[in-house]
Amino acid sequence: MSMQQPTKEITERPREESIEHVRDERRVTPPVDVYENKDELLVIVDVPGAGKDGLSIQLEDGQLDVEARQSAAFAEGGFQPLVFARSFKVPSTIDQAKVSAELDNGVLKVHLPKSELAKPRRIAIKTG
Amino acid sequence: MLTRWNDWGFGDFDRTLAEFDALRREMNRLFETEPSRWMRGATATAAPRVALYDRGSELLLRAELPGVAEKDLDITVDQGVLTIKGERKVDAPEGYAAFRQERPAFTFARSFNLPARVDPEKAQATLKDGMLTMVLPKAPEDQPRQIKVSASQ
Repeated sequence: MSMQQPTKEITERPREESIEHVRDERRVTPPVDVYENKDELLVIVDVPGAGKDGLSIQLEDGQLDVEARQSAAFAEGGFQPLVFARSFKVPSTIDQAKVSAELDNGVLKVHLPKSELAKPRRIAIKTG
Repeated sequence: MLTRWNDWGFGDFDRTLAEFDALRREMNRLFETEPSRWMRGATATAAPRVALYDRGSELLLRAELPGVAEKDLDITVDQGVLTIKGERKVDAPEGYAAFRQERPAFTFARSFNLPARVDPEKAQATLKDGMLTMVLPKAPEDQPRQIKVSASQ
């Protein structure tokens, strides 16, 4: 169940279906939440079975690529490990150097802090 | 000569009726599904991806349960039926505006007819990285047995 809300802030890039993958892996699109407050954008992704080692998060040219590989330890019988992959366009106001991520019980949170210039500012009004 | 109904100028009316039909079917379908689907509102009943393997001397079960806390999981084995119940609570951060929400809180319950008798006392369950792994050793009477073939003279 997804709530479709148009937003200029962060938009999903269409998957490039024409690209074939050489490795024997199944790529799936995991469900994602995107939140924003005055300090940061917060992207939350369900990546069950993926450990810290299987994570790859890249931010380049305003594009955030999140990839999480299910641990090979869970591969057994017909249980082919999945690769959870999603890409987003993020605004240029993100402070790339301060991007951080945390992984807890199969839920990945990527914090994208806004640069100081992009933060809302309170403007003092002088009364006179 | 055959003239299609639409060519008579009733096309729009016809289409409107078809819309009503589609709506009625949709409503019927909605109310025929289990009440939890539409009564709980934001809480969807999701079926997590589960795999069950027979490893000879034991059964192995894996279930993807991202964000489900250990204390919100309830696992029982009763008369050869394994039931896993669980709940993922809302984890929306406070003070944030939501742009996109595809990860609802959910409750789920799944039951499996186990293909062999198991020893519930020896069953083990671990939750790691949002993946539940259960090892269920088979009861002695269902353990695989090697049959020796003796050559007759």
